[in-house]
Amino acid sequence: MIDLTPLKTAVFQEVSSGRLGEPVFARLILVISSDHGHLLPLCQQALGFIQELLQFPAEAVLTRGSQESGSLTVQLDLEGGRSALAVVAIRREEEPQLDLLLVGNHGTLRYRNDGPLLEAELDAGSEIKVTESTASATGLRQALQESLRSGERVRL
Amino acid sequence: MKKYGVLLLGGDRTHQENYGPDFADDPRCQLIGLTDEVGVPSQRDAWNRSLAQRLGIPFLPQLDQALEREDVHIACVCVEFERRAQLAARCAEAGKHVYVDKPIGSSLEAAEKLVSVAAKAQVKTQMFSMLRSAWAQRAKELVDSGLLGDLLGIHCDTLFAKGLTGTADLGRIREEHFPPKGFSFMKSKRELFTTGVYSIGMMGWLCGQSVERVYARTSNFFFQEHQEDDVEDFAALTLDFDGGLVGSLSGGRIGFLSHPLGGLLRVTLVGSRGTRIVDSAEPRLEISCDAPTWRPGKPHPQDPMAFWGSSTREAGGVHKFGWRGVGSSGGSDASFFVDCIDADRESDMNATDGAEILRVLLAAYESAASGKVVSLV
Repeated sequence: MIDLTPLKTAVFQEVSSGRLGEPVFARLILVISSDHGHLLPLCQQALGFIQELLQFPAEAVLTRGSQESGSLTVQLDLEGGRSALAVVAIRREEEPQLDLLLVGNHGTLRYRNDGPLLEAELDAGSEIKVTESTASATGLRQALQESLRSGERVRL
Repeated sequence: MKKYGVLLLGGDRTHQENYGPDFADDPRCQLIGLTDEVGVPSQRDAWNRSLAQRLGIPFLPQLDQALEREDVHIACVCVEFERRAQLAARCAEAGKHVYVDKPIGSSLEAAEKLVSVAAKAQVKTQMFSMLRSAWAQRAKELVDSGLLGDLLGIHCDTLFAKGLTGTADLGRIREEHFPPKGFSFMKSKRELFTTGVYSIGMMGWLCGQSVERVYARTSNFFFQEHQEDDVEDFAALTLDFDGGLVGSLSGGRIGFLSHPLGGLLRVTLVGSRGTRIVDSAEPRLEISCDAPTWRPGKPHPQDPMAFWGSSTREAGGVHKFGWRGVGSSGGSDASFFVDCIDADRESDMNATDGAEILRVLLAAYESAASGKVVSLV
């Protein structure tokens, strides 16, 4: 697993400044190597992170991809009309990448890391660090799996 | 004498402000005149005449007579969405090659008629796209190189940095309608329609597959003008392609100061062996200095979103300098179309592609209205 705490702290500091206005949309692209975890839990963690950034509960998910292909794409609908898109991939032979776009109604924030710092974050995250409640985390994981199975949007 | 005479349809406050000069810059082309249908609203007529005057070409008041001219070989159609495909079909029927603004129109029936008429008349067609841009070409080269392995996903972001943001009421959550109620407005645009067309076109061009299913959510995050016209300023989509590829896109207009250049334009390519982000703003110079930074002035009363070059200039223009792109594309989209005519080959963004993209866009509105995945097969 990846430890997103340092990024989360920095982003929250910026959001709380008010310069971006209210966060309304997020796009996350996360690629890690297979040494650092499994696809579905990683995706779940990424979505938990996005929910915290957008500050609204998740309403529904639409999931595409497969464990076999090593990549998942998720469209996350949140309450308050907010939405997010996440692409999570595990690649054995590829350098890790983390790209975040956070759109507020007064501006945007971007973070990109495909260098040594991300490697350190990956190493630091050997334990799962997900801040949402166990119940919502379980519900999200089930919804992701159900959407993968049915191909439909699944309400949470 | 130049090889191709070009007839312009539509004038100021359309993308003809860009395409007309692009054709004029091509040494193979000569602008013959500017025309439109008889009986257009007086404001439209005035804007048509003002562009003709600025380009130094005659305004031709009778469309049918203009289309009968033998010195016209290409028609460049930039009229409003609602009459675009119909007018383009009339040009094709008259035996003219047709270059058309994007999206190809608002009626799928009319777009399909354009496709059949153009095929029957054996004329070439092309819809404007971003495919000629340097970054799109880089993405294409990357896909074709095989470096990423099998292509599994394409994810586009087309977020234009225009308009004075922060005026939308975020408490009013958008409820989409299907079919969409109207496409042309003075102070707003349907941003899924006008930005999604680029991303959907690029995805199909990169992967060679067709969209089978679409899920969309439309929103009002930024502008009061869009809310007043009951059109979206932002959209997020997920697309399933017939070859198994997954696509997603974000599209919208998100404010002048949301980006150091004209907006975030990028594509993320996910392959079986690698993932790459290709960004229109790379490579670039980044400039930091003590010169005053640009702030948007009072918006143009008839074009607060800065849709058009003429009104944007009238309002003082956009003068950002923090980032500067390095490198340029090989030529204009218009010149690429002339290349296709010269070589007697189909464009990679012809009317058939345009109609297919329109079908996906309309399905996206249906999805946004229903909250469900919509199948196109």
